[in-house]
Amino acid sequence: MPETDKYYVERCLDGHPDDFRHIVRRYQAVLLAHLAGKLGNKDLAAEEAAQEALVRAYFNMSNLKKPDAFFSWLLGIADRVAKEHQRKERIRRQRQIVRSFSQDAPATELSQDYALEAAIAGLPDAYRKVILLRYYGEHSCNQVAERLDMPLGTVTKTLSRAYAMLRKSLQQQTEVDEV
Amino acid sequence: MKMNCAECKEILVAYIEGLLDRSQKQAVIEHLNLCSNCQAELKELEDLRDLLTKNGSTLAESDLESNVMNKIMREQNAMLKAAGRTGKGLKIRRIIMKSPIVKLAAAAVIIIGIIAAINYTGTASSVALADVLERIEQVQAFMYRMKMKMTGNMMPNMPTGEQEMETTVIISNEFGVKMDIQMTNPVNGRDITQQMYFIPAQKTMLTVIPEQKKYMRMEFDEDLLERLRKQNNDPR
Repeated sequence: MPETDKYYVERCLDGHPDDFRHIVRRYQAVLLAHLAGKLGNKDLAAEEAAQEALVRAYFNMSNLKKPDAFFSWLLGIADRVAKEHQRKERIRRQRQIVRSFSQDAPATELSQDYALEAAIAGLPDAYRKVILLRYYGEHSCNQVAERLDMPLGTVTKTLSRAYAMLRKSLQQQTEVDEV
Repeated sequence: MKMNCAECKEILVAYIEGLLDRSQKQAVIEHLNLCSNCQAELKELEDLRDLLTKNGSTLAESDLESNVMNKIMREQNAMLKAAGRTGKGLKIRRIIMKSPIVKLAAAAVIIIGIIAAINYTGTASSVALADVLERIEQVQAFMYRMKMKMTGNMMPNMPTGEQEMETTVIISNEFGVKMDIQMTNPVNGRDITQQMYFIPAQKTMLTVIPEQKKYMRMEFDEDLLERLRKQNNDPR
């Protein structure tokens, strides 16, 4: 595996801001998946939120106490960005409703394409992380184990449970759609 | 080893992830051959895995890098400006330098610049230099040439080796320091010329690299200058 997150975090803090691009490359797909699951990607919402989360991470890196836990920390930032975005979006929609007095605004704007990511976003934290790193961060199971500091057996079990939960959640989504 | 359905389903994900040892794998294959129920289960898991992999690789093609890095630089510049306005100042402005050559050049200039700054303040000396400096302090402006050689790994991403530099320095009490630096790029063998200006009245150092159409600006704050002065250990 290439350099650890800790290495790049320390390089950035040490006055090599350019090294942050390695972190961007490593986590961009993971963040996009996570945020598309929460926000959809209408008007590039997920993409903007992912950029915002990375920029914030960069400027707050000196507050990161455990550089080893960079990934969890980054997801935390992304969650906050997503919440802010949802709040803004709610306000915008309410204003629109007030202005137009027309039909109800659509309750959700998750695009069909991100159904899987939405299901991932709904997983409990530990399961979500493993799925995101494995398939969106393109880590091998061994690399996931290393990054999340857990035994390989735990990664396999977590993955197994996550598959089961995802299948259930996707099934429910389809049922709702069919109604 | 005979395997039942529950045992098989338990490790099917590990199976498709290729994490089983040889005997476990063999047992799963044997069970699958006999059990259509587990075959269907396997098919569903594989479909989900393929979907995850497909979505993952689609998103992996997205490119946030340049946008994110540009945003960071813009915000950093804005913060530096704001810091400058409020007068807080940073110790030394950190300059985002993309090319390793600029980094090397900057490193050299910082070293020389600091030496020059120490000399300029007029208190730097060793015992042997004291007499010379005393005379230098009488004059309004002077010029000297120096050659220096640096050995070792000077910057990350740069080959280890020797770097020779020739420098012409003009120092004026009234106007500050101007240095012309000649060196060779160790990567492509081309000459690099640099002009460096240290303007004490503005506590600013400017470096111009004409070949690359680049310049850098560094500002010193009072703390740093004070520290440089203290490091002089002037025996007089």
